[in-house]
Amino acid sequence: MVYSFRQNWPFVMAIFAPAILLVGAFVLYPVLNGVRLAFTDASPLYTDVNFIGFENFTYLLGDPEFWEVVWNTIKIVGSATILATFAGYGLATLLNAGIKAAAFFRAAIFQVWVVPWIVIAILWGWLFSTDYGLINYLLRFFGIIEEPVRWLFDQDASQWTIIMGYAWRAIPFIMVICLAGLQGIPSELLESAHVDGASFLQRQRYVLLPLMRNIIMVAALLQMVRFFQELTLVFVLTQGGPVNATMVLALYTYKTAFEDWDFGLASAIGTLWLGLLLVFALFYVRFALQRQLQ
Amino acid sequence: MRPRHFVLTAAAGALLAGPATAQETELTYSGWINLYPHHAAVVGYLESEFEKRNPGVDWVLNDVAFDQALKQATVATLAGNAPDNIHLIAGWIPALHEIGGLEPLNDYFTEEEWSKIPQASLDAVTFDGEIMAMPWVPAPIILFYNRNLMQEAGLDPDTPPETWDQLMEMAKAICALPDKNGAPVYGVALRTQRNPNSAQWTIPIIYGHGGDVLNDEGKVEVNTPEVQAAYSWVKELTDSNCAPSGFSIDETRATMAQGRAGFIFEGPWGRGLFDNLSGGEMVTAADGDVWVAPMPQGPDGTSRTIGNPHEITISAGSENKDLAADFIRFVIFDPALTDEYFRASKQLSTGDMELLTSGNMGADAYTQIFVDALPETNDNPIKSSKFYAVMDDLVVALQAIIQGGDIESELSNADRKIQRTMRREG
Amino acid sequence: MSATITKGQVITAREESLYRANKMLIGIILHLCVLASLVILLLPIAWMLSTSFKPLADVFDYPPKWIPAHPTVQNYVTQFTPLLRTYFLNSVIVGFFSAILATGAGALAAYGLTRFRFFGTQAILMFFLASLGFPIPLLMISMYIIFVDIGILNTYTAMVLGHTVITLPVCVWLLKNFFEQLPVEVEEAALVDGASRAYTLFRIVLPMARPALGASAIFVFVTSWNELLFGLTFTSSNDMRPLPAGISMSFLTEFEGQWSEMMALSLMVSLPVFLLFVFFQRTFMQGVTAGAVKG
Repeated sequence: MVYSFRQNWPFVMAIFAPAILLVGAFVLYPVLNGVRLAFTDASPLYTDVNFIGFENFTYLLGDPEFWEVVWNTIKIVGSATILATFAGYGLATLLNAGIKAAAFFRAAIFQVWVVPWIVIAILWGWLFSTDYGLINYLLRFFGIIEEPVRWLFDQDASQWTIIMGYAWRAIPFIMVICLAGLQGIPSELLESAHVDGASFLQRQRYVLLPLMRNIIMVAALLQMVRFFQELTLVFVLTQGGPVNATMVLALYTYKTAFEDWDFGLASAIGTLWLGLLLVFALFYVRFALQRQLQ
Repeated sequence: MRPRHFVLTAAAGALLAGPATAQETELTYSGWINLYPHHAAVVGYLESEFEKRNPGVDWVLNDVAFDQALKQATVATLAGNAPDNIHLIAGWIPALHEIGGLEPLNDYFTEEEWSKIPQASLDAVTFDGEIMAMPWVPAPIILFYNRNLMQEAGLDPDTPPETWDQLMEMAKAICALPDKNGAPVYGVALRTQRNPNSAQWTIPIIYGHGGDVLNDEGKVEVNTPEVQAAYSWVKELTDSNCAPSGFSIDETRATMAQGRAGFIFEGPWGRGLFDNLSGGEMVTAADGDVWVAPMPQGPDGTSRTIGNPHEITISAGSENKDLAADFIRFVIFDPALTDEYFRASKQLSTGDMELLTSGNMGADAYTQIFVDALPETNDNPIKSSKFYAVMDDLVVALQAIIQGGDIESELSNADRKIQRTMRREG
Repeated sequence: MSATITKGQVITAREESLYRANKMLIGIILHLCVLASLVILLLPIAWMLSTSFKPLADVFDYPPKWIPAHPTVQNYVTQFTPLLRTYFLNSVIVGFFSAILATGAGALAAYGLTRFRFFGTQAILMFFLASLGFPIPLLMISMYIIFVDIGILNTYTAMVLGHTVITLPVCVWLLKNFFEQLPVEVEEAALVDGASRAYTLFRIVLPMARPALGASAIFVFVTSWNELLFGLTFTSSNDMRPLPAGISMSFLTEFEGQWSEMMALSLMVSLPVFLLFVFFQRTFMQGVTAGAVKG
């Protein structure tokens, strides 16, 4: 039911006011102001602000470090999303296969999603410690490695340490959403496929995945957006190091703004990030989601 | 928890966190003094004694982790709510001074009081004749060595290395020792985590190879043959697994305290830290487990090193500047308090030369080694508001080099970034 | 289920029993798989628990032991300091008021979006959704400038505002989905009876939406409990810092390898949100899954 705006406009204005005011002042204005600042050398350390045109952008685009950061962000966020999505969907499938005490398992696994990021950061430092970490011990115990891996100092290893942290935290979320989706699929549909003699993989391919596609894609997108914003783990654990291996855009922007106090450059990074996201969102909506609707 | 209980909890919380009684004058301090368990005792003493001497004053402590201290001081200063007294290191004073965050201290202390502080320590924090900070803990960074490991490695524990080549040799001998408690023994516990402090800690190595981070014109320049030599020294050490890779400050200290490192570069806080971390088992003494020596000598025969001295300042926005100065006077010049702090922290506890060379500290060989190192100590290797930002640029090169990057090109990258960093230096 | 025979197929008894045996085997394998996944996923938490009950001297034992040889609760006891209590209270206060503000503003806007259509609804909705992806550090720059100007840096207000705006979009989305499912007949009846719009909303609609409001509030609270950057950048004194900022400021950089105490602290920090979920699990899962599955 949709009511008329014209007959109720004072009421409608009133109920929208808090959200619009909050978002206007602390989201919309900051974004627009951020884009403006990107063309200045603004810094809270100096009173004068000068318009410097595209200087921040040309500096960034010509700086190999910036591209390194962009690439690392894509690699870390992308891998973590893919890993978490596969694992989450896999677990949901398992739990939906007529397991006893599925609700208990779901609840137990979901607790991981509650662990605060700061705790993950502390815990990861302990688990992945080179000399005394449990991970190195287990890997050596099972004979997978001989020498301890320097999880927080080798470039690839440190990226994987972070990726595993992100993915670990996100698996339960994706699992819960996929499970809800799977449980919403009419059982007749699956049974008829069963009786038709479709194998597990065939059922996945022809029945489940097409139905689940949008749900999985939305869950993955939500997680990815969150990963892009998340920086507690790298902030506490690696500070972006070694070199720039775990320097993600969020941390890079934050450090430029609040450690180097270069608001202009930080805003330029943020603006480029926004642009990147926009391009990505267009593609995602066009190719990942839209196909389902057609 | 029912929603109603929730409301109650929050309301109770709001009450508890409410402002202190209005009649009391609050004097706020921010710093990391309370974060080390072995300093906590003296903080209690300091608070009660200071409040006793100044009735009606409530001394309020704000913890700031060392890593975050510069940022926090900057944030608070820009926001106009800086604490009255800010605990800093000398390298950060220019940054705070540049944004007008610090009160010049010249007039708050007498000539006699100033004369007790070494001139070099004052010069490091003086800008156009204005003294912006009171030197607190003098902190030459020198060499700590594990005597037991030296003995195990067949070295004479009474002759610490005198040159950087000797240090390399001894470090390699020590790291050839078998694992202890399932983990390797390192030659030098060198910090190489991504942290400006890691780069700052390589400056003595650069000095030791005859170099500097400033060129003849006083501008920052790191791509020089001497810095290259220093960084290839570091690289040789890490390549041969004789220095840990990417360790944070804490990890290097823990490694040293576990008896798994031959050497570490530390300031006077080293003794107290190792004592505390080892649960009292590691004794720092001339005939103990660990002892100290000047840095190895550079080509010019000096043991030139950096200092990382603690400073205490008054914020420009403080409303109780005289009281804040009284607090500084108490912390720096009070014989009882400085002695208390010395005994709790086992480190040098004041910038006052008279106190450093008399009483308990005067009789302490450890303290005197640090005092003797002061003339060769540079408290402000780059006297610029961008010091830490430059170090943050340099640490990327340091890490890249350790990981196999080309020394020359990484350092020239660093120079390029440093140029950008220094562009608006005031 | 196994006996369901459709499409006129005929299954012999032998086939039937084979099918059953097969099914049981698959069932066992499935259970084992789930169990294994559970073990792997919960391994870090188990290790955290184990370490937290060890004295520091046993922490570095090699090979590591799962069951502490000399179990102790000392690591927990030492955490009960006035400082940690302050951080806890700060987090509770900031989380609580953020939850109220974000859920309140979100509920009103969501209600408006589902019940009224005018030329901005779609745009507002899209903007809310898109704002989830806006770089938070970019927003923080202007927020910082604003907060300095109006003098609310180092107050709860600054953090509450920050936490509110980063969670508001999710709240709106979650509640919008709920309101869409809510039957409008009751509202209709009230309106026909002459109740005002405001009365209908506050006395009839919102009480019915309690589960969704709860889910939204929990989401905000947990996000706020988790958030480090605002706390770190917008506060400068112990009495204002929320937990994550406080931990990184007072406990983290100087803990010097005291892993057992850090693990105890970590568990204590996780406990409140953990309990919140245990109690409100059903509500929350319904809210979250409805939001995403519908979307």
